[in-house]
Order: sequence, then structure tokens, then C-alpha cells
Amino acid sequence: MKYSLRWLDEFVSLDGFLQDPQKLSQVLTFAGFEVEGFEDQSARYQSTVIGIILKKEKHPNADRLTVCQVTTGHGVIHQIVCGAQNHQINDRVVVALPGAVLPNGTEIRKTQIRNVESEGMLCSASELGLSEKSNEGSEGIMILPPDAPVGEAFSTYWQLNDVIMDIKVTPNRPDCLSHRGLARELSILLRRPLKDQVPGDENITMSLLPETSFFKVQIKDKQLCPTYLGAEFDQVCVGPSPLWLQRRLNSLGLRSINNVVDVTNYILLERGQPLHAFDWDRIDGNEIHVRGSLEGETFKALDGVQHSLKEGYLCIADQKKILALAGIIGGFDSAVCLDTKRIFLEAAVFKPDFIRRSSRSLGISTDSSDRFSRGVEAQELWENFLRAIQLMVQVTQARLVGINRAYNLEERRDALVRISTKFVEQKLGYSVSEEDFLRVMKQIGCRHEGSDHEQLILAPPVWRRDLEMDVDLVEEYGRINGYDKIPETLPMLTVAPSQHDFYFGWQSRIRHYLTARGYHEVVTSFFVSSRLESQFFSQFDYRVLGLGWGHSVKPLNPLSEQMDSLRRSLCYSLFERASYNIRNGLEQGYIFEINPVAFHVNGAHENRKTGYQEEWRLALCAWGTDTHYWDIVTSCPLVLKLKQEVLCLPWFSLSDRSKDLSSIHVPPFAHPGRFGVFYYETRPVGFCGEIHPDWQQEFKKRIPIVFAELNLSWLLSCALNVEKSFQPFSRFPFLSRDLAVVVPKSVAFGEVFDTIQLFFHSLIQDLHVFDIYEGQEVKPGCIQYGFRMKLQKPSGSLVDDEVNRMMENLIQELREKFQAELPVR
Amino acid sequence: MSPVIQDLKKKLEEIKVQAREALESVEDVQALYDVKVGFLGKQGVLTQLMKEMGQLPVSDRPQWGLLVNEAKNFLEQVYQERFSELKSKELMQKLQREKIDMTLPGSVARVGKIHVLSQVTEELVAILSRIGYALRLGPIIESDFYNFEALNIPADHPARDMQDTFFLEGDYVLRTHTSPIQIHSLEKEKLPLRVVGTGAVFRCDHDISHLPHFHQLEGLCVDERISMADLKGTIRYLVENFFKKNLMIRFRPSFFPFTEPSAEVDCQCPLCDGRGCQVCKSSGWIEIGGCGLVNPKVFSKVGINFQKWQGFAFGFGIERMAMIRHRVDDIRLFPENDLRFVKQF
Repeated sequence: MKYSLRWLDEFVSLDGFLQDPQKLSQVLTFAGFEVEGFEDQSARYQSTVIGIILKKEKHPNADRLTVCQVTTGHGVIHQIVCGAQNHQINDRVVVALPGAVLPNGTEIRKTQIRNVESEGMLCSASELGLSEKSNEGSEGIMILPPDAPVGEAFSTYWQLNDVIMDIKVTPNRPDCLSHRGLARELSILLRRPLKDQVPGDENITMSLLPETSFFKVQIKDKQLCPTYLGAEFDQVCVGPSPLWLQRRLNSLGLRSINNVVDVTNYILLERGQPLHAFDWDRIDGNEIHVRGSLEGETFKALDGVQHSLKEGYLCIADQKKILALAGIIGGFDSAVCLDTKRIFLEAAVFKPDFIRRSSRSLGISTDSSDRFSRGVEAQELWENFLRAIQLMVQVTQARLVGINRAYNLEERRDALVRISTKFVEQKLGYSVSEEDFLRVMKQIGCRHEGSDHEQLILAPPVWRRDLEMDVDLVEEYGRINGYDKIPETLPMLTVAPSQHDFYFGWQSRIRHYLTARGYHEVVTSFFVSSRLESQFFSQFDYRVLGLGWGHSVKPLNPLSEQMDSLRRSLCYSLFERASYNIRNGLEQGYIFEINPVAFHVNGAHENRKTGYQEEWRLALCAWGTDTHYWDIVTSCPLVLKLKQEVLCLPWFSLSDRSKDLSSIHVPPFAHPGRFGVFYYETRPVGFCGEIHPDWQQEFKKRIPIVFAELNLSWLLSCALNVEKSFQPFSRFPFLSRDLAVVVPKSVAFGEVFDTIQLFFHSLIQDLHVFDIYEGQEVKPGCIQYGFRMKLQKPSGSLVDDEVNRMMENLIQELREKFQAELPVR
Repeated sequence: MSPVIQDLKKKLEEIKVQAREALESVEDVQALYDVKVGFLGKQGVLTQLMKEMGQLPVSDRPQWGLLVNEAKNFLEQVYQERFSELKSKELMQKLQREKIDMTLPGSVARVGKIHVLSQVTEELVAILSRIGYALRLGPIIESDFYNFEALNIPADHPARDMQDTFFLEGDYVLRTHTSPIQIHSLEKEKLPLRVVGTGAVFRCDHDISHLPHFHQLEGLCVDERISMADLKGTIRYLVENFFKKNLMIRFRPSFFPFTEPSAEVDCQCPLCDGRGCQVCKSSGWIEIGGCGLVNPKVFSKVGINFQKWQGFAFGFGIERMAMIRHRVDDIRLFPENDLRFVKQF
């Protein structure tokens, strides 16, 4: 909220702080009121001074312009071209000199107007931001009284030496959401008295209030509207507000509308009490109802917007129609206008959470609804009401003719708080004397009601509804004393052994491993565009790959279409980040991410009734070919490198083929010929593949982008092989053999490999392919593999002959199974 | 001395000169050996001279033998010297040939980097675990109860406006802070308790300094006697260990529904050591998070006796900590994941 220091100063002396707002800002900040900024208004009128017109001549080249010689004192004379008609020689005027910036943003410069030099501008009230621009033609420049001191800064003359401070008031302190409220707090913080009597306040006394009223107010639900006061005025002169009132509203960013509305806004800023003024003559009958809206009832708001209401909004109505949505917005039809002669002024208290809920569901937020949502203090309503009446009479010359008191000011339930200074000491960590504690409590307005054993009984002030418990008073004591008094200690704690979260530990372990393997970790946004994501996945169901899947989780209030749902896979995010980096010229990269994804599964069969599921995933992505490097000779495709990376993860024994070689489901975003599934035993747990060329059209050069995604939740809960027990190894000599075979390409490498592996069974210690060849030497349609194997018996030595025999049998088996042949020498 | 011996002596001197010259003139080990064989081999000159001994008078024989052997030994010695000389020369040449330009690069050792947000998280967790905190994670989709209600943020309370919330179907939200993790721990675990929660959080706010998806870390300590002073000391410990500097901290009163008293935490700007710089806007202080003593109402919500148990909680933004420590001036760099950014940390 914005506060005027001048206004605050009317309630509590800010002597010494007006000139040094930074100092005040420190005080407020360390009392829990964060100052978000302040503006010295006098800076608004730099280089704007009072001058006197010495000479006025017609502009040689323009009929409607005059050329004036203006002095701003000290013998300095400025020639200024002026378009207004209302000025005379010897008039005192407001001169904006070159360098001035007017409130509307106009920068004043030395310039030529139709070939005549002009060194500034004579200002009108609207140009100075003091009034709304009038619609009736030229308003003329501002002529000041003849006693205006020539040469004085306009800001000084107009008393605009105010500072506007923007202060964040936390939700627990609605009592400070007004100038008087904050002044009350400042009087405590600065230890200066609160000037409670506002000039003119004394005019209103209870005895002068009328006893009768025209309207009868009926409240349907006293829970929603505990208190309702009304004041009836006649002989109202609706018109512009006096300048001081306009200026004050303007300086806090409010537009002056008319004197009646301005008074209600003024009271809101001064007292924190929202008011509403109705045009008495536009209210049907003599009853005012505070009731719930009916289904389908219509209401035209002040701003002209027509609303068709649902049942149950709190409204103010006459016998025929809704006059206002209580605490939110007034009605168009009962609004005060220039013809208004009589008004009904409402001052009420509505239930904060109800107003907040209504305001949100209607999508209407006003100063009034914001204020009511944060809690208006019923205990102070009467006082504020009187102040409003007084100001209304003063400003509009109206006559108060009736008062409605449909209120049941509940007797203040004295919320007493019991507290011992020992407790305060223990919570703050420093010693506290009862005397000092009581001093501070009294300072903030608490009454000391007595003592009970070791405990003090305190009654917090009415405006501090937030002080309910002993800890609230601890905070108050600490706050007023300054948090700097709190020492620094380390707690005396009981030993309470515990473990880090399982997933966090693994996330960290995998992260360190993969970075050591050359992959960069990325942390990408959990939000995706559901449109792009469904384009990517088409109708594909991730579950066939062993990854969880369901509907997108979509916030009801997304920020934008690009971020309208939570991602269901990491690989899309990584693909997107890879593309981003490629666009930025990084033609090669290795990245990974470990994070949860979320989706929604319908039906009650899931363990969580809600259907929301989160699953930890690990995804890797690589793109580009290795930079040309002098020792790089391998031509292994990137997708295979990535596959191997995953298979080699040391904690899971994954396989790239299952025994059940039924057809693999390839998602639409993957290259159908470059895609594989990872299995743990026979269960699919993820995949790896290369992006479908269709998704790469944006790049002129085709850069392979490959990725893998694993169901980490499942792997960590079901496939961890951490319990390892020692396996004795053979200490007998081993024999090595190379075997080259030519097989038709239709045979998968894996089948040949597995056959060899299985053939030797426990004898084989190492089997790897050292050469893959297809070309002139090999029959068309075939491919030649060179295997190297290391054979060893668990006990005893292998004999050459024995191995040779086995090799022959192996070749025979490969021949029969795959039509394999030995290469032609 | 008999003339025969005289003669022999003369001859042997000649042979020695001859042999030395021959041995020293060859440049490789094989040739050297051949030379040696020429003198000392079966057909060698000295071997021949030895054989001649049989035909000599007996009286000359011992001396003859002595002299020839002496010459043999001499040659053997010269040969050995020359041999090791050549051998080491050969080795030098071989080593010379095998020389590698050590300024050539080796095989590419790709090294990946841990994302700076993970680094900061892991480090904060490590610092806290040294004083007994265990890490907890929680779901990102939370019910209204865990995200608000249990944290003393009732429905339609203005405190809800402090956090722009993403709402989901049903009574669910994307968690707006990591505080629900505290509630899960308080519900499930035994007291006393020290946990640190971390993870992604979501706010419906996106501009130059706010991300809709960012990360928080927060600590919760529950024991029988816990004070604001303990909280201050703990945060000081954390800040000093994280920034690896002796930095003061200060508390500013604030309001969080789940703590009472509540405070915002500032620490001395680690970039200028509190002297004032651009980052701390010349104030020397920088806001790093919020904290307070656990509100008894929170304990009540989860059925913990607040007469017996007390606690404190504190929370930081991971992005903010990373920005301060590494002088990152734009929060949007974190989710962007430009590798030119990721690689720097």
C-alpha cells in the first residue's frame, strides 16, 4: 500500500523523518514492514518555479499564440511562447524551465515555436497533474494569487514536499492498512504520541446525531454481515472536491471523481474503512436488505458491466433490485452522479473470507474487496463512521438527517493471553525481565489484567486480532525490541539418527556417475505445452515401454499455452533442450536429467485414490557426431553408444533384448529403424532411440539426436543389485580364440552373440566383437563378424584339442541356426 | 727375458693397438662383436697365440701364457667398455626415436558438469547433514491440506495471496513451497526430528525475476527446547559454510502463517563482504530466505503436543542461493540449460 508521509505526520509527528525517508524506511523494515520503495514528490517538479509575466505580445506568426517575457527572479528573464488566453501582464504563473519533466512525462526543452524561441512553458493545472483535464476547450494556465513568491520552487509553494512510501503490509496486520493505522504503529516504533484528534473531529458528538432514519436496514445473515451502519444526507452538492482532497488522492494514485466518492476513498485511505455512497433517490422504497443473491439475478456494476449472478453472493438490495455487491462493487443504477441531491452512506463490516471468495469467483477485485478480504475491524467502525460523516458534511455541505444502526457490535470477547516471561526468554534465547516485558506490551496497547501464578494475563488491543496466543506476544516483544537482540546459538539436540531420502541418494549417485561419464546434467522446466507434447507422442502409450503414462496434469490457471501442463516424459524436454543448443551452434552434446514426471490415471485401481501419479525418470540425450579428432577411428553409431552407456550403468543389470522377441512398439517420434527397448529380466523399463527425421526438419544439416528414458522409480525399487556376494574366479590358464563368421544380415547380431555365449556357457570369460565388416570380400546380403573369446575352466586346464573340437561344434551350430559361413580366405 | 717373449711382447702390443682401434672404430654392437671374435674367437689372433704355446720351451710357457691372457683380458675389458658405450648409445637412439610430442592432446576425456542447482542443493544438504539433518522429498502434486491447511493457511485467508498458486482438478495444487514436506515428516516420523526438504515448487508468476517452476530447500528441527537464538545460530552456520566466508546474518520481522515468530533472513553480501556493491544495492546485505519458530497451530494440525515439542523452520530459494554465490544475473538461465551456461560450474 502507498502511504503519504505528510498524511502520516498528521497523526504522529515524523519530525526528522520527512527529510530523511531512508531512515524511516529502516525503522519500518526492521519492524516487519518492508518498504518496497519511496518517491519524493518534490522531485516531480524539478525546474518548475513561480514566475511573473513582464511582457505579453502577439506571436508574429500565429494568431492564437502569445510571446511572453517572464522573470523567475534574480533578474533572469525567459521568453516563453504560450497558447493560453487567460494570462495578463503581472500575473504570477507556474513556469516549467528547460530540464523540467511534467507529471505526464513531457520534457521541457529550449525550442523554437514558429520561428520564435521559447525557453520553457507556462503550465495549466492539468499539466501539473493537479486536476483532471477539463473537457471544455482550453482550461488556461494556472494563475497564482498575487502573493505567490516569485522564484520559489512550485513544489514548495504547493506544499508538494511529500514522500510517498510503498510499504508491504503482511496479512496479519490489516490494522496497518490505513494512514491512521500505520501511524498508530509508528507511534509505538518511534515512541511518539498518536495525535488522535483530527482537525474538525470534535464537531461530531453523539448528541447531535439524529435519532431517526428513513431507511430500515435488514440483515439476513449476521455471520456474513455482523455490523451495518448507514448515514442519510440531504442537500448534497455533488461537484469537484476541494484541491487539497484531490491532491491527496492524486498523490496516492487515485483519480478524483466527485466530492462524495472522493470522501469515501479518503476515509478508506485514512481509516481503512471501505464506504459506499448510494443515490438515495434511486433506491426504491425505504428498506435496505443485506441478503444473498438469487440464482439468475442480474446486476449492473458501477463500471457498466452487467452480471448475471449465481445464488448466494452477499448483496445490498432495495425492495426491487440489487444496489451493490456487498463489499465488492456498487451498482450503476444507484451510483452518485452530478444530479444527486440526497445520499445514503454505508459503513459496514463483512466477513473477510466470504468477500474474498466472492470477489475471486466473480473475478471482480476492487480496493474495497481487497480491504474487506483482509479484515476490517468492527470495533473501530463507529469511530470511523463518525469521521466519515464529519468529512462528508465538511466537503459536500450536506445535512445529516438520519442514522441507521443495524449493528450488533458484539461485546468484545476479551481474548486474554496468558504468558510467562520464562516462556518469552526460552523462545527468544535471551533474558527478559517482567518489567520490560510489560512495558513493551503496554506500548503495543495490551492491558495487563493481572497475574496468575507465574503467568501474566494480558488483553491485546482491539485492533490486533492477530495477537491470540502466547507466541504472538513473544514475536511482538522480540519485534519491538529488535531481532538484533537475539543471540546466535546452536541448539542442544537429542541424537536422532535418520537416513536421507532413498531417491535423493540415488539421484545424487547417478548424477555424479554420469557427469564423470561426460554427460552434463540439465534441470528443465516441469511445464510443457500439452499441444506440442501430444504432437510428439501422438496416441502412443508409454506403458508398452515400461514407463508410466496417463492424462496430462493441467493446472486450471495456466500461465500460457506453452506451459499448460506438467510433462509426462523427460525425453521430450531433453529433445527440446538439444534443439535449443543446436540452434545456438552447439553441434555436439551429451546431457541427462533425473527428475519426476507426473500424470493422471483415471479410476480407483491406482494406489492413490486421487489418480495423480509421479514417477522418477532418468533420461539421457546425445547429439552430433564426435568432433573430428586425431585418434577417433570408431564409426559406432551414436544411438548404440548411448545404448551401451545405459547398459553399463553399474547398479542395474539391464539388457537390450528380452527372451520374448515379440514385436517392439516404436513411438512415433523415434526413427523406426533405430530404436530399442531396455529390459530388466523380461520387463521393459525404458528405451533408447534416435529422433525421427520428421522432427529434425528445422536443421539444414541432419544431426543425429538420440535419447534414452528409464523408469527410475521402478528400477530403484525392484532392480537394484547392491547386495553383492563374492564369486570365486578361476585361477587356471585360459585360452583365447578368434572366430570370424559370415551371416545373413537378416540375423540380428545379438542372436549370434547369445548363441556363442550360451554354447560355451560357464567356460566363457570374455566375448566381444572386434570387427564388423561388410563389403567386397563378403557375400552380398551378408555381414562378417569377428569375435574374440577367452575360455577358461573353473577348475583344471583347458586343452587345445578340447577347445578345437568345441569350436568346430560351435561353427556347426551357427551354420545350422543362421546359415553362417566361415569367411573365404 | 728370452727373445721369444720379447717378440711376443712386441706382437701383443701391436695387437692391442690394432684391436683397440678396431673396437673403437665400429659403431654397432654386432660389428663390435665381430671384431671381438676376430681377436678372441676360436680363430682369433690371441687364441692362435695361445695355441702356439705348446710348441715353446717349457721355461717360456708360463710367461707366454701370462702375457697372452693379460692381453686377452685387456681386450675383453676394452670390448666391454665399448659394448656398454654402444649399447647405451643405441638405447639413446631408440628413446629418441620413440619421442612423443607431449603437447599433442590425448584421447578426449569428456567431462560433464552437474547442474549448478543440483550442486547448490547437494552442498546445502551436505552442510546440514553434518549437524544431523536428513533429507526428505515429497510429491509435487499436493492436496490443499498439505500445501495450505496444515500450514495454518486456511481457505480464503489473505495469506493465500502470498503465493500465486497453480490449481488442479479436485482439491489439489502444484506445491507452492517445500513446506508440505515438513507436514509429511511430522505426520510420519518420530520426534525429535531434523529434516531438510528440497525440490521443485511452482508459482503462477513469470517475469524477469520469477520462474513458474523453481526450487526450494528448507530445514525443520523439532526438539523439546528450541529458540530463535538456535535458529539464528543454525542459519549462521549454514550461511558461513555455504559461502565459505565469515558472514553475519540478521533477522527482520516478517509473517509466515506456519511460523511464529517469523523472520526474513539477510546475510552480509558475500560478493562485497558487506561493504556494499551493485548486487546488494549498496546496502551490504542480501535477502536469502525466511524462517521462524514452528507455529503451535501447525503442530496441532498434525496432532503433536505443542506444550512438549518446539521447533524451527527455515527456507531458501535454490536459484537465489546459486545466483548470489555464482553471480548469475538472470534467473532464466537456469531452466534454459544452454550448455555454455551449464559447463561453467
